[in-house]
Amino acid sequence: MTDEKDSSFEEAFHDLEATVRRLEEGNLTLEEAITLYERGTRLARRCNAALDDAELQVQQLTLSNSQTSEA
Amino acid sequence: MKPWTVTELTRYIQQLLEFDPPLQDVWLTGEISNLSRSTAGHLYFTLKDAGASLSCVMWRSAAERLSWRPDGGSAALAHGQIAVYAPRGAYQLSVDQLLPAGLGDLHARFEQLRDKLKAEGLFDAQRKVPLPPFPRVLGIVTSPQAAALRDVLNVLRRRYPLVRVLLAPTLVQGDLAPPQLVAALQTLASRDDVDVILLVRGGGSLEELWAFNDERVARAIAACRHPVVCGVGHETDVTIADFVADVRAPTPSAAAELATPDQSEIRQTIRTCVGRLEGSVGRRLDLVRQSVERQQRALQRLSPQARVNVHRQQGDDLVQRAVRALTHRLALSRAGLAGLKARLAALSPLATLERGYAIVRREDTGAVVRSVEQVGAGDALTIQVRDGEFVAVASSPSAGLDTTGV
Repeated sequence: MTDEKDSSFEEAFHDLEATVRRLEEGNLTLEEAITLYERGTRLARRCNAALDDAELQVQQLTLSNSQTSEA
Repeated sequence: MKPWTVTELTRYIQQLLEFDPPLQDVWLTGEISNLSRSTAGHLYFTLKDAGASLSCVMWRSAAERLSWRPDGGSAALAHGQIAVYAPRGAYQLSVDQLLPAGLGDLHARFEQLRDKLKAEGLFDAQRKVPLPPFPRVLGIVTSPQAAALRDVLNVLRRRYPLVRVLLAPTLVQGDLAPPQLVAALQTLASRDDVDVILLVRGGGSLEELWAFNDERVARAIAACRHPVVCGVGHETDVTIADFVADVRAPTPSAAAELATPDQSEIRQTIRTCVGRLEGSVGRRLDLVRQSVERQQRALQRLSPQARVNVHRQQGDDLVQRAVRALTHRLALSRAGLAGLKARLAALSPLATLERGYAIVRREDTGAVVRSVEQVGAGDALTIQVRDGEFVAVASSPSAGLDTTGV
């Protein structure tokens, strides 16, 4: 599974879904199950926080005929 | 040779003309003259040029749908089928579409370009690039002042504010628009960070939307490596850009919706995931708890405590200590349990009694006598043996061998 810290929102979201599936699959020790549970709830918190904190960023590019630069 | 009748000849001519495919799908340019409208609503006119003229009729159902007022002298583009009107021995054009010449020109050019690019395969489904489900950077090609941009940004803020927007500003109508649209698309296409591009413009007439029917713009969209979502005009407006784009949206707002996920749906999925996590772990812990409870109950059944209470031996220290020690050990294996059962049975005072030992108590306090020092001569003692008890009176107590450790 991906490293939690640097992953994008999409990676964290997919990681969460994969963690749930792993946990529901079974064949885990109690310790593994609890670890997955903790990982899953951490990822859920991260995803929710990312959505809560998001503010739409809009950047207008400057276009010219020969080259582009950013405003 | 037998001569024709007029009817037969006319019918022959009629079949010649009405079964000839090119004459049944005619586009015709000419100047309108002799225009009149019957009381039934049908439109009668002549289309002519320097060399010839042709009678035309536009039946009421088609004439009602005209969005402009044709008049004598105006140049027009007509579409229809040649028909023969036998009673008058005349042929005419039955018109189903009538357009002013300028606009008609645009329509014809639209259809020509559409057919040409379609034949090149630019509209093919296999060429379409799928949209990324969680775009990080979204490029927008549109006019910065227009309402279309405001609508798109509002939709993005509501649905998926995580996305970063790059606005490539352009004109969206007029002759100067196509080169700017091309430059904007190329700029965004050349960037590696862009995940999806929106090409949007609000509603307008065919002339106002014309830049999105420009061949250069169409080719720039086709050449773009990132998926392009085209949302130009209203629901009913279709432009060449719509055909070439990877996804067609009916409006700018719809384009923004198609390009992004909805955060309320994402949050719902997260809630469901958390519920499943908790359910899964909860069930697992329930199983562990049930297992522990089962073992505790088994322990209770074996416990001599119940038997002790029945025989009123609540004070028996030894048994109580054994029970307490055992109930503290939660993780018991079956083998361990069986072993403990055996040991418990051996420790049970009843087993001891079976072997001939007796439990001695002071009759006055009920305290179990373990030491000779608890007894004085003449003290009444209750003696419990295997099958009952009796009272005895102590005499001649004397210390002997200390057998602790048994």
